[in-house]
Amino acid sequence: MHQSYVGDGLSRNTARAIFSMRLKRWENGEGITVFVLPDSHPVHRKFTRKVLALFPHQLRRSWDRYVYSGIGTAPIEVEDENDMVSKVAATPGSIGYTSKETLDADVRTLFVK
Amino acid sequence: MQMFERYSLSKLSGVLLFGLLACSFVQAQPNSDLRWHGFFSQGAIHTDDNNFFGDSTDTSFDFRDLGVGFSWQAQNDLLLAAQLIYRDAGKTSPEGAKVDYALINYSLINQYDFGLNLRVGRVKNPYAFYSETRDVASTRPSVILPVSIYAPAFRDIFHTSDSVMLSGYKEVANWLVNFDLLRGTVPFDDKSERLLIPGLQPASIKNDKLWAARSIFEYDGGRIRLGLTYIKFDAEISTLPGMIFPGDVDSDSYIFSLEYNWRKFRFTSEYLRNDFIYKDVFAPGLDNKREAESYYFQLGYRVNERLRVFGRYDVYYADKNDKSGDGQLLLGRPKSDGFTKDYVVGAQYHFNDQWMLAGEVHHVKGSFILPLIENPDASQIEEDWNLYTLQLSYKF
Repeated sequence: MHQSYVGDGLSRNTARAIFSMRLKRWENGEGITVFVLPDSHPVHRKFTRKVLALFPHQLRRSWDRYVYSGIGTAPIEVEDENDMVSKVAATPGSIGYTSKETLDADVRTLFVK
Repeated sequence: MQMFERYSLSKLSGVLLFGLLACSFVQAQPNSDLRWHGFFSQGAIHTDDNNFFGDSTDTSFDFRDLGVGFSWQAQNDLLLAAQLIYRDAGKTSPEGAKVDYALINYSLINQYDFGLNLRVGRVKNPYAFYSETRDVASTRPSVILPVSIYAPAFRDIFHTSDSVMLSGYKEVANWLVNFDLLRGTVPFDDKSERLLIPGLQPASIKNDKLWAARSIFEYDGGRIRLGLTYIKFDAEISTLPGMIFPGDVDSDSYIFSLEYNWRKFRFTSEYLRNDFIYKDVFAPGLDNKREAESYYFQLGYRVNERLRVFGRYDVYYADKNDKSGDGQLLLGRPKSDGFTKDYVVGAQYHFNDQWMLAGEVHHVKGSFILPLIENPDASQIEEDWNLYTLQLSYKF
């Protein structure tokens, strides 16, 4: 994790830029891999509404425009929260979210300010 | 970092803890991967008069889209992407599959609040709100896009181009400003040429040039969106004198777009002014100027996560100085070819993130919306008619 994010978290605007797939690189130049739960998953909806202050369909619109006009990519969809934690843990430079309280040591928890 | 209201865990929810998980960097590894995507739709159209996408008075199923594509993140700042498309829209669609886009996207600057991309290849033109994904059913507000801004007859001129394009975004306060600039040529085929000027011999459009500029201002993650588009198209018509003569065609389009989201409502409106000048084409020495004016108002309501309903009023005038269409009589067409007023209600049901069923009812006055190629006999055209459509779609 890049120095400036450690213990400091992300601003909401940065989190929005990452999850809308606009921001593709961390400040040190590494590519960001974004994992999300399905649109209809309650945790995805809650994360989108509470943390990003967006509706899931707003995110979906950005992703669709990127994918179907060839100018970007959509996040990688995971099956459930266990899958989310293990994929984030296994992928350098990745980001995801979960409602789980206990996380394994391979992931770092950030807070959106 | 700037100070924002701290999002403490207790604020989020009593039970849910949103850890934003971020994996530490173990090693430098480019985010390189190959990703596939695709979409499919099959529709049915019935009209009580006139033909729209096939023999619709007998119910037409010649209404399907099939697309498949990939993107490859070759390096962190280099994305290659391409998509093939097969469209069946009655007699208006091209035969066989076409390269919808094939481009290289180079990211020049990529910060959270400012970005700049250079794109080269066949690209989707920046045009109003819905053009770039107009073939993907679930990205549209309705089965048939408003004719005022997205007329099937002009699709091939304005939809894609072989271009160099500069695109970017800049965050200013709570606004995100997106901008696109493009210079290129239109990938015409014989059929799209004839849609532009009926009766044109193949390969008659020469030296065509397209310029486009668009800016979309998004407030608070897209709660309010404002768009401005300018598209200019110039070409030479080189044809043997006959029904049509050698000359020039020039087109200027200005589009103003607005979207406002409030609770479960979405209000959308777009306005287009499109000037077409045909120099010598219809008669040597004669400039034929047509000032089209068109707009729609649409109100959508999200009943729940699966069901959406909408209503729309959609108007097109081929010439704003001749709203009753008298000038069409000179071309051997009915007056109603000069306008279309379309009253639409419809619904979309999303079974899940992939499958969707959509349906709508159109009550139409006027026949501009009708493809000429499917309605060649002027005496058969009815000014007042209804259209019913149902469409099943899938995407991945």
